Amino acid sequence: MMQLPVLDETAVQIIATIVKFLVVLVGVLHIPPVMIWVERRVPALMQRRRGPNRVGFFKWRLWGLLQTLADAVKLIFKEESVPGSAYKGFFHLAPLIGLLPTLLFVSAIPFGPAIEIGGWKIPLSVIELDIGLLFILAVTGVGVYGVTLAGWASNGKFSLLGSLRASAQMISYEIPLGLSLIPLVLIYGSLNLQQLILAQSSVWKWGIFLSPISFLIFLICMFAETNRAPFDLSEGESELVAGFHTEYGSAKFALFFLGEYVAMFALSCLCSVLFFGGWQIPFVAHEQLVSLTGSVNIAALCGVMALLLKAAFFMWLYVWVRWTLPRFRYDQLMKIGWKFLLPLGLANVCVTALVLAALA
Amino acid sequence: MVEVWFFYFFAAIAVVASLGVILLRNPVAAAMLLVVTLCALAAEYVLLGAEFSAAIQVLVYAGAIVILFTFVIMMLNLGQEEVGQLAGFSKWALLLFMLGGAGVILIQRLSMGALPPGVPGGAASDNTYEVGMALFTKYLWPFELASLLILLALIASVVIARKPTFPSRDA
Amino acid sequence: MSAMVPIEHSLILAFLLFFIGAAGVLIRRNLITVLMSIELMLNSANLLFVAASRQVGNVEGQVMMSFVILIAACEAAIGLAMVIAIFRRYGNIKTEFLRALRG
Repeated sequence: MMQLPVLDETAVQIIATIVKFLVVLVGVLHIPPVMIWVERRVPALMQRRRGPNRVGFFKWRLWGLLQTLADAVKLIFKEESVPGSAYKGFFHLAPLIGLLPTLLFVSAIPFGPAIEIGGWKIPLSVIELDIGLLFILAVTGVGVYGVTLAGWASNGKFSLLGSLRASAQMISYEIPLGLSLIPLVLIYGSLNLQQLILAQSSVWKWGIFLSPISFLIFLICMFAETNRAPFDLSEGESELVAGFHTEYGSAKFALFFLGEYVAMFALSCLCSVLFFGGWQIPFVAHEQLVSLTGSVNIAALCGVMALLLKAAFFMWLYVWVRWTLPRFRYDQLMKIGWKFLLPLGLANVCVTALVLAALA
Repeated sequence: MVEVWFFYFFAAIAVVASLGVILLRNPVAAAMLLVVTLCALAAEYVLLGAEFSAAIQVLVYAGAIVILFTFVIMMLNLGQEEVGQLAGFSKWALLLFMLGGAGVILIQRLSMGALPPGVPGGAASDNTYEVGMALFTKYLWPFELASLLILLALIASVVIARKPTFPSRDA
Repeated sequence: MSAMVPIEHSLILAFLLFFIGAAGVLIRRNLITVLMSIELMLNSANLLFVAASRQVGNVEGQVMMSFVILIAACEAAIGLAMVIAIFRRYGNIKTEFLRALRG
């Protein structure tokens, strides 16, 4: 029998990180097709029509699920067109620059408690950081560049206007987003996402109950940060054709789509982590689950499912809101951000700090 | 040892990118390379055990300040042609300056001798907590004054960038 | 954090960045690039602060670094506001057009 080489802690963790990264990458690639399907079928449900339901094999149509697959194939094989006046290098780079921060964002999220494989404890987040929350804020800050560059590099009026709008919006809403996280850090006393989850050990300690105003601000910022309806001014098809990605077609357009949906997924996960107990199943303590299933790994898997379900709810909420609310005007958007959310966030931080000081 | 090589790697990125910042004619490309420089420096901070500094470096510098630069470049719509042109007079000044800088480094190396090896593992345990404690206890007053400074800068930039009320010279 | 990067290496990197930034201020006529070069110089100061904080073993260098970042933010905001004002008045932002104070 061959002797396996003895692995030490670092080697195991490096291998685990690579595997986890690949899993997250592949998993994330599956989000847009499903979400596009949801985004077609849900409004169809709401508006009492059928939505796409034709594409399929022979008689299996799978509720039109394969339509998005067909779309993806079409997008990838389409001819690429680059506007003659575009700044070529940045035009090609922009979709990737936009995608990278969102991938980093997803990799910072703890999808479950640590699992054990062969005696090694492996945390279920690609990169586990003590300053996870700060890291996520930093990464969302850099996320603006993809949009900005795309609009500028296309060198067209609609693109430039769309990208200026989008980046101004994302920068403005980053501030209330950051402010909405501070009360949670004050309450739970950690920037580590895993610690934040563990601190929400019972349902009544969830972020949404301890700091509901934070949740409100975060929810609004979630929509604004991803440029989704009702804040999709950057696309505003009735005014700007398609905003910053007007000039993009084929695979690059698909990359922008991927970026948008991955950002939505990442923010949904973050929202579940911060306000809904992350991977913890309500009313069932993790230790109970471990003793019930008899294995740490199965319990961890249940945790992952719980987090994904919670995130799925927010993904659904995105679609729900998109087909319910009309688009805001640009000045209204800025007014909400600077004159409503910012003071509210500041007041929220002050009140939380005072209450905590009074309780201590 | 790995850390040292990582340090050199990011140092090389920082130097090359910052050279690009001052030499490229396209202002947006320069701004993007500035972002690269800043992120490379953030990586250096992580290697130096200052995670908090790295985070705010990316958050504030790359996420806000350089975005401001890009914004202004886009607003003024500076094409490739308008920018560029190195100032002619100062080529010699630059050479002298670089030589002087090299001289300073040399003198510094010679005069300092071997530096003490430093405190291993110092300032590493819970970096964010310690920085926060220092900011809100020992450096509370500077911190408060700094917030005042930011307020002033905010008002000042609004006043300066407003449409002028006086008649323009060209008009 | 087993092996430590010797502080001399951080110093040399900081020096290089500072000189690159200073050279940018000298050789460029575009105000925006000049401002960016100033940011480079401020960053080299930051690197020094952090490296020194590591060397001494306390966090005060990092506190200073956060103050420097804050001042850099103010500087960038006011500087860019001035760039916009200059652009409005002169129609471009080359340094050689700013000769109103030259008598």
